Amino acid sequence: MIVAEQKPLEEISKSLEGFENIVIAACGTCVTVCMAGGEKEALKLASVLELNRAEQAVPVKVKVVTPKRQCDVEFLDDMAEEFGGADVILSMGCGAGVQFMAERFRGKLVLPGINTKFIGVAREIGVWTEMCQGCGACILEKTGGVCPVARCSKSNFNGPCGGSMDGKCEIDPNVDCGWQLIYDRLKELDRVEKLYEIVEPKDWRSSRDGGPRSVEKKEMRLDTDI
Amino acid sequence: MNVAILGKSQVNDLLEKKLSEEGFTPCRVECLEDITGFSGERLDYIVRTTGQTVKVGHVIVTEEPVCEKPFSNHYRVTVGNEPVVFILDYPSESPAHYTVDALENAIKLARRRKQVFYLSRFMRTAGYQTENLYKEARNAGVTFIKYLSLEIACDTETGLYRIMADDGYDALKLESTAVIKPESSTASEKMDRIARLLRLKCNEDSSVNDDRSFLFPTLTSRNGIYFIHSSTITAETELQDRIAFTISEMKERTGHGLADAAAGKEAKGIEIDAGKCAFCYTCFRACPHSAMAPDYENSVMKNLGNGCQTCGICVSVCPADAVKMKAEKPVDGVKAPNALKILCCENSGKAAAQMLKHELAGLFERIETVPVSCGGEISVETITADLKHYGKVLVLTCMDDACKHFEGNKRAARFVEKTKALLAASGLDEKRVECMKLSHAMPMALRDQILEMMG
Ligand code: SF4
Ligand code: SF4
Repeated sequence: MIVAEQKPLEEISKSLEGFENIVIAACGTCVTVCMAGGEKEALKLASVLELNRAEQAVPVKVKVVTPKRQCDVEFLDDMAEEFGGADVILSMGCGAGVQFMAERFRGKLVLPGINTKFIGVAREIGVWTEMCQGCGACILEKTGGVCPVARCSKSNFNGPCGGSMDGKCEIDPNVDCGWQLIYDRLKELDRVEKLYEIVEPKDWRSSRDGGPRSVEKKEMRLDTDI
Repeated sequence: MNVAILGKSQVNDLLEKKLSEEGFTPCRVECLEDITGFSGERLDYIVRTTGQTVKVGHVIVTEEPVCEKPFSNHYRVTVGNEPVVFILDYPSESPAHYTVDALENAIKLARRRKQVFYLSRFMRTAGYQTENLYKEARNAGVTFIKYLSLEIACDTETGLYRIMADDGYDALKLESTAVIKPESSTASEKMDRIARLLRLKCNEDSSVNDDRSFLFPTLTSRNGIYFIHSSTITAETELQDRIAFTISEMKERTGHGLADAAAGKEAKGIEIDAGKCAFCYTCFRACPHSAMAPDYENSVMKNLGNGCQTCGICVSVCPADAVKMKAEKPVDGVKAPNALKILCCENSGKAAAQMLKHELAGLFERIETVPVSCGGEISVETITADLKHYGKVLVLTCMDDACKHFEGNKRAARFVEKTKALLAASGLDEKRVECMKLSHAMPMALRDQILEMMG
C-alpha cells in the first residue's frame, strides 16, 4: 500500500489562506489505512481550520467528501457536484490522487494535504515501513524475499557495504541492515548459496530513471494490436 | 449450556460440581496441548481439540499462569548484611503474579531482619491481594522506592550490583550482590499459547493481563472467558467466592445487547458502516476485548455483539470514521463560548462530577457533562468538533491500572495531547482541552481542575 503522512498543520493553513469555501477531499483507500488522509483525518483537519478561522474572525466554510479512491475517475465524477462551490480543494490523496483531481476538475485549484512517502506495510498500529521502491524489475527471487533496492540504504546488489554493524545500517542505528536481513532469511531457507550468483548491474531504465512510466495490458484494450 | 474448563488444576473438581449444580454442563480439557483451535464469541464459542469439537457458551481457564514462582528460588541465597534489592523494572506496572511473589518474598526477608529495598517504576494497586501485601511489607520494614530512571551496573567477577535509582528529586545509590529481578522467571509456554489462541490481552512478557483482577477477580479481557487460579487463592472460602462470582457473571453479565434488551432498553452497541470500512484491521488490533472479527465475504470488519463491551475504542481509532456507537448521547444544550464540556468516563469521572453539582451549582450552569462508556471513545476529531461549540473541553478518565477496558484512559490521554499540539500549531490556546485521570472518589481534585479551567 501507499504510505503517506499528513503535512504539518502550519503548512496546510498557510496554503489555504485567503480561501473561504474549502472542500477537503479525503481518500478511502491507502491513505485511510495509513491514517494520513482518510475521513477521520479530514474531519479533524476541518474542525481545526474552522477553530483557527473563528479565532481570527475570518469566515470559512469547510466541507469534507470522501471518494473511495481518487485514482479512478468514476469516483471523482460521482463527487463532482460537491466541488461546485469550492474556491479550493485540499486533496488528502497521495500524489496520484492530487494530480488526478486537478486533471478532472480543471477550473479548480487542487492543493496537497499530505506527503506521499513510500510503498510499505503496517508493522503495528501507527507504524509503517518501506518495502518496495517500484523499480520495475523485481529481484526478490534472488534475495530471499527482502528487497535490496528499498531496504538497503545504498541499494547494493551483491552484499552489504562496510557500514553494516550488529545487523544495523550505518545511516541510523534504528534501521536494519537490508543485507543482514537478506542473509538471515536465506540462511533460514537454507539457500545461502544464492548469494554466490553475482547480480549484474541493474538496468535502471525500468525504474524512475527511464522517465515517467506507464503500463498497458493490451488484451484489455480493443483499439491496439496485441 | 456447555462450559469448557481448560487446564489441569485442583480447582477443577469443585468447579465442575458447582457448575453442574447451577445447571451448566462442564466439559473438561485438561491437557492444553490438545487444543488446536478456538473461535466464536460469548455464548457461542467453539473449542477444537485433537479429538473433538465442542460448542460452549463460556470458557473457564484453570491452568496456573506461571509454572515457576519467579522469586522463590532467590530469596534463600542472600548472605551477610548487605541489603536485598528487588527490582521490578516495567514501563508500566509489573505483572500481578510477579508483584505478588516479589512482595511475599520481600516480607519473608524483612521479617528475618534483612534490609529490603523494593524498587519499581509504578506501584501496583489494582491487583488481587496486593493492597494487603503492600501494607504487610511496610509493617515488616520493606523500603519502597518509586523511581523515574534506573541505572544498574554489575561486576561480573564479584557479582556486585551498583544501582542508582532517581525519583526526580533525589538519587539513591545501593550496592549489593543480592539483587532480585524477575528475568529468570518462566511464564508457562502452554499458557502463552492458550492466551494467544483465545486472543486474550497480554502483557509485554506475554503473561495474561490481569489489571482488572482487583475489581473483577476472574474476568479476562474477553466476555465469556474466565480465569480461576488456585495459586493466588489462600483460603477455601476465597475459592468458593470466586467460583460463585464467575457463575453469577456467566448468568447475568450478558453482551450489552442482551442486557439492554432484557431491561427493555434499546441496545447500546457498535455499528460499522460497511460502505466506509476500509478493512484496515485497526479496530481489530485495538479492541481490548477481541470483539471485532473479519467478514471476508463482504470485505468488512464486523462487531461481535456478545463480546463487545462498548468501550468505544474502535470508534476513536477507525481512520475511515466507519464505526459509531449506536446509542445517541443526550445533549442538554449549554453550548457557549464560555461553557465547559466535560466528557466523563462512566466508571470514574461521572460520579466525581455528580458529587460537585451541588457545590458548584453556579458554575454548572455553564458546564455540560456527557458520560461516555470509556475515555477510549474520545478522539482528536470529537474533541476538536466539540471545541467549535464550547470554550473548553475536559476529558475525565480512570487512573492507570483502573481502566475497565485496559487502555481506554491511555488512548484518551494521547488524543488530548495530540489535540493540544494541533491547537498550538494553529495559534490557539492549548489549555482549551485537558485530560484528567481520577477515581470516582476524587471530586476535590476535579473541583480544582474545573476552577482552574473556568477561571
Ligand atoms: S478500523 Fe474502521 S476501516 Fe478499519 S477495519 Fe475497522 S471499521 Fe473498517
Ligand atoms: S466498543 Fe470496545 S469492545 Fe466493542 S468492539 Fe469496539 S473496541 Fe471492542
